Amino acid sequence: MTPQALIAGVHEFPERKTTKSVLEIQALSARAALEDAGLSKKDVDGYFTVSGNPGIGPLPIVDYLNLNPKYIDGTTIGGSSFVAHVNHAAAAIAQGRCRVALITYGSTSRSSGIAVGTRERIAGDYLDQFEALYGTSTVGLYAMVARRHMHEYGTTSEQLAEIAVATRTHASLNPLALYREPMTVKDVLASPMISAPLHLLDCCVITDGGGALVVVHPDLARDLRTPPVRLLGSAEAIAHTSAGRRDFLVSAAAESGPRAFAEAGLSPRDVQMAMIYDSFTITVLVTLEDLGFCKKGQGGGFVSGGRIALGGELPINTDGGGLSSNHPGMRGIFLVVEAVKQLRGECGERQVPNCRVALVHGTGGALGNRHSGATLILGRS
Amino acid sequence: MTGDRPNVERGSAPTPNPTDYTKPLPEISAESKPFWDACARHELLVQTCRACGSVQYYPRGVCATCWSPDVAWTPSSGRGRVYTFTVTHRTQARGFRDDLPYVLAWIELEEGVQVMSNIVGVDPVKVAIGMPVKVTFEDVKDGLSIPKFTGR
Repeated sequence: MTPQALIAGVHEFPERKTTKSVLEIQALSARAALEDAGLSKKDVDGYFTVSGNPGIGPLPIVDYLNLNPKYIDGTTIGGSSFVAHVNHAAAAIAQGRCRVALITYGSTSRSSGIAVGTRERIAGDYLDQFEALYGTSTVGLYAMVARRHMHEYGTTSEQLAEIAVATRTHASLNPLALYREPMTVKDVLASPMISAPLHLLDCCVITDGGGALVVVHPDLARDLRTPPVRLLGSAEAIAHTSAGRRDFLVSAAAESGPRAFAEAGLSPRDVQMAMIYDSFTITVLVTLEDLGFCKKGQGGGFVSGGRIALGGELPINTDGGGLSSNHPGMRGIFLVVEAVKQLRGECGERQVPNCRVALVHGTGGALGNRHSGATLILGRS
Repeated sequence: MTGDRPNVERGSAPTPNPTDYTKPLPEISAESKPFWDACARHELLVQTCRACGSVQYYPRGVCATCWSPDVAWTPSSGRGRVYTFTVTHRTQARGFRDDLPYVLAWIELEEGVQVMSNIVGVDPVKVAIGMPVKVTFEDVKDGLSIPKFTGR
């Protein structure tokens, strides 16, 4: 099957706390990702990033980078944005709107002292008057989904903790990860309760960081420095409050996952490793169910017993995830970086053997009110 | 405990000094004013579409099901059950630190729609999914009351 597009270059900014600016992080990451691809600044004709860079969407960063793209996309749907950008870049490339798409991200959440999870969640929009009055926080919104999952399916805090523990084991194999000391289920349960039933170690870390991706037309395959990764399927979806009649245990992944698999002509059985957005442990559990790796309600059993750790049936978040390695606020770009490195066989100690197909799923916003989901199915060259 | 605080679970108590209330306040627009005016009278409203009959919450200028602008304000019984909740132990949310641990919840009203709110006047350890609750209004200042829920 002819891929829609190729992922030719990737870069994850290595620092977890930095004195560099949001713009500088993105420029350095763009340079490194293009070098990884064997391409250069002059080749870039499509540019994708989130708003929330200072100023009006992509304008200041495009100025700073001194780019003149023919195609610009500032889609901002939370942490999944950069995963959706890959989908959008593939569409733009297929339409002939651009040939070399650059996606960048930069954030200084940690050095700016932003409490990503527990800060007041006010969007500045019409919906605030029905939600933000009640002490909503990101972690609180996810915790309500965890509580409901426990109620419906008997999921336990121990099972959620298994996700954090497997992820920390992976982080111990990543020299760049923020936290690398191994930990146990007991450690997670003994950590302070933030918003019940989620403990501190059920929550992602707060870092500075950023990265870049280079997505190119399949015709460019021969011009690249490393064998590119093929985009086999991609899809996105939004799940929200549904006028007051929402099943909060079904996430956007239940929509985007099957569409991405159908496009790729593959199923969960064909996937050797998955990068699943892990803002919180519950995010992973619900996403794995909705993507079809197990049945709805069976996520607790699925994530236990080492199945999602390296050496297990479906290793996930082999870089150490947002839970232990890197979460500057919008982590989606790192999901793609690690999946690409796994498919290229560049992951050293944390390499998944014979990795041919990887899945990426980004979640942006909050499971407990509204969020986006973006799924990619990636294949080795 | 949230319920022990005098400025919570006030019911129809006299209007407090506005400076007591440090939590976020609603930014009321023409679109939402009938809802907030009703709250000031201690009535909880939902909406019913005159075109397709759908009941919805949060209120808005169109029916979220069929996009008809012909939506009627209809009274809610104010009764419902806890759909899900979290007991918050750490927060940066303005005005809520003094209330820790407090309960953030989705309540399913008898009309079938979910409402985000706080459960007040109940020991957080006693809150459970499925628990019957009823609306109570916190009088924040003259003409402004915020709907919250308590046990029934």
